[in-house]
Amino acid sequence: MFNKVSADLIARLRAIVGEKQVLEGDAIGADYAHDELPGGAAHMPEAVVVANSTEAVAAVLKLCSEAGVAVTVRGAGTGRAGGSVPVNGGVVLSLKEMNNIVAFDENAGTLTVQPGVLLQDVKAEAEKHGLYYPPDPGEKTATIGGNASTNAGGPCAVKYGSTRDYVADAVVVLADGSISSLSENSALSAVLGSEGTLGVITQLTLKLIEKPACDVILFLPFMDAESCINAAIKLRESDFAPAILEYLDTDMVEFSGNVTGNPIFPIEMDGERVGATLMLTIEGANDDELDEKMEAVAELAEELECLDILVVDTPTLKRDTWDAHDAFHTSTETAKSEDELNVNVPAENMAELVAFAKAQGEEKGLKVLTYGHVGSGGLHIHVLSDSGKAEFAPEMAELAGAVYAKCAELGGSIDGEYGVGYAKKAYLKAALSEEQYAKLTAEKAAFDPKGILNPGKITV
Amino acid sequence: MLKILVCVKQVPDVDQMRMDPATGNLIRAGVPAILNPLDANALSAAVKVKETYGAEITLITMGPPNAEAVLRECLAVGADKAILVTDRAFGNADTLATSYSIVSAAKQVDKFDLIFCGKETLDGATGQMGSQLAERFDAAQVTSASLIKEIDLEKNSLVVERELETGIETLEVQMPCLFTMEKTNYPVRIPNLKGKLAAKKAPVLTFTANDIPDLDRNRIGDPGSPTKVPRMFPPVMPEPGVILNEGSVEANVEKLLQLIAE
Repeated sequence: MFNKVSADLIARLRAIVGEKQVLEGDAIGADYAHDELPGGAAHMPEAVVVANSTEAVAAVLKLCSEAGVAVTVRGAGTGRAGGSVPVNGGVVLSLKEMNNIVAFDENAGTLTVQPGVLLQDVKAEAEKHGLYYPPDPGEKTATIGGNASTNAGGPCAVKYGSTRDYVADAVVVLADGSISSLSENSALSAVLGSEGTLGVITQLTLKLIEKPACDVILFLPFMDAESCINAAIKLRESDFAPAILEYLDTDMVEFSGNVTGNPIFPIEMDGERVGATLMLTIEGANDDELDEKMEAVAELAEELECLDILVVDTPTLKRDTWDAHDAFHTSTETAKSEDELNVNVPAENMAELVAFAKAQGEEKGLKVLTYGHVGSGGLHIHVLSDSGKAEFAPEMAELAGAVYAKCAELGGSIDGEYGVGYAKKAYLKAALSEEQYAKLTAEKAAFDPKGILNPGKITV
Repeated sequence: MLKILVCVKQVPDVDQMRMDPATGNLIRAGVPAILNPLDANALSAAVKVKETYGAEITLITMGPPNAEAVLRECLAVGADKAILVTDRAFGNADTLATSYSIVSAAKQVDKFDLIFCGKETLDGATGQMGSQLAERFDAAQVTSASLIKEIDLEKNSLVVERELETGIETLEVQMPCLFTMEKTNYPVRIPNLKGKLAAKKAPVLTFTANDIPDLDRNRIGDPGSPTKVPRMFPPVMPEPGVILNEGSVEANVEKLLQLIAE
């Protein structure tokens, strides 16, 4: 379907970006063949082009389009759905060196960056100007281009939304090499979250906001996941608008705490095992406002059926809390075999999906650990096993199929925070209505008629 | 009932602190003050003893008036009383003067069976305070303690484990006894909202130099501190290594030879 990368094409790519910016053969590092998808297969590209400007990206795409060669865009490779993996070989277009902060516009409160800037550097730059860039899926060494291409949200999406809400405009190179500036229109909305299948983002202008003056994290332990998630739904609709509403399965926090040695989340209360903990963040203009909001939570405590309200308000405890939270997806890598299902499901149905996934795991002898962003519906389902990969893979595939089907039945979507990539492609069609799926394929055909951009992902 | 004293210190959040390379001074501006992390573990150990055997926990710290914040943080997780030793006269104290001042104040309040300290502080990290306090309280001392295994209230004795590089040592000690605690076994406790709100309103007993009868002014603050710090400087960091990634083994070797030649 796609043509191979020829020696002539390599020479012409080198003419565009420079000799050393094009890797081929043994010079291509093994990292280019995979991302962080647990158990993902390696797919080596035939060539890697490390681009350094919009114009270079445009020239590379024009050339590859004419040559009929597949192009897979890559940032830091921290995705967990195989989105940046060149499953059809061809060229990997790395944007990691396009990592400049281009401009800060004080009047507009926007920051213009190249796609290879890391999320942690975007956040630090915003802070330098006394402002805040909220989206944060947890992986701070992901590139902002990767975040935009998966429309990453993270825990604070309940209050602040996801990456799409913060992109004022973007420079996008289309498959034929034409350069477009897109500003908050439907085309931009389509490109954001399209995992490099519709165009290549080479510049982003991000909207920054005022950072809240102070905040406090509360842990509300519950006897079970259902009461925890129900409480989160009530709190989401309360007046004090929590910035974060995280459902934390005790099995998850216990497993991760044992791996990291940072057991900050409650496991037991008064000798009884906690079923789940709700972690919420409240923001305010001053300490008095925070106290008022905490007291409002306390007044709801009995109705919510929480076992206690724990207060995390010191820099040390806050840091330990986020370190422990960010370690969930890395700690599971210590299991002999593991995989993760990341989906979005309406908060009202999250408890049902959690119970379903746990029951599926129990039936198959697999350990299922979960946590979720209740506000936005993002749910992480980690599946662990002591058995080897050969035994684990078919069991996992069966569990994934059942969970994705249940997710669709409950009104959810399977793209989650890491996108669809190749890992969930097979499940997407079943999860969407015919009309929804047709819309995706029509969009792809309109943006990329030859289908050279990131083939083998999402729909094709 | 057991009387427990927990010694705590407010320290700058070292993770956020930088040193001015020109002057060698610590840049404290904008750096939040926190409870010394190992003191939080020591407090957890004391609260565990209180939960198991019943006890009254008194906190003590020496520092500027705003050090009251760490006392309230500790009151919120189960301490009963708090003492703040604060006066300009105590300023610039080294460990010798500090241990003298703290013990002088504590003795005004009660006689303690068990004294808990963190093994060391994040800022000074001398690790001297526990031993000095034990001497001044005339208490047995167990440094690097990791577990209070058992307390015999009739015999006034305890079985304690300490962490050594070579293994775990189990000791039986008589009260009064002072422990400098390791982090192991006693994770930091998170206060609940009820405790937090109560701690905000709890009284803190404050001692100035004038409030301590018979205090020897020559043994506190600057005059009482034989340790002087003439200079501070950041350590010289070795140059970072270089990873050769020239695209092929041949190119890497060529680059390596070039670097060696340079």
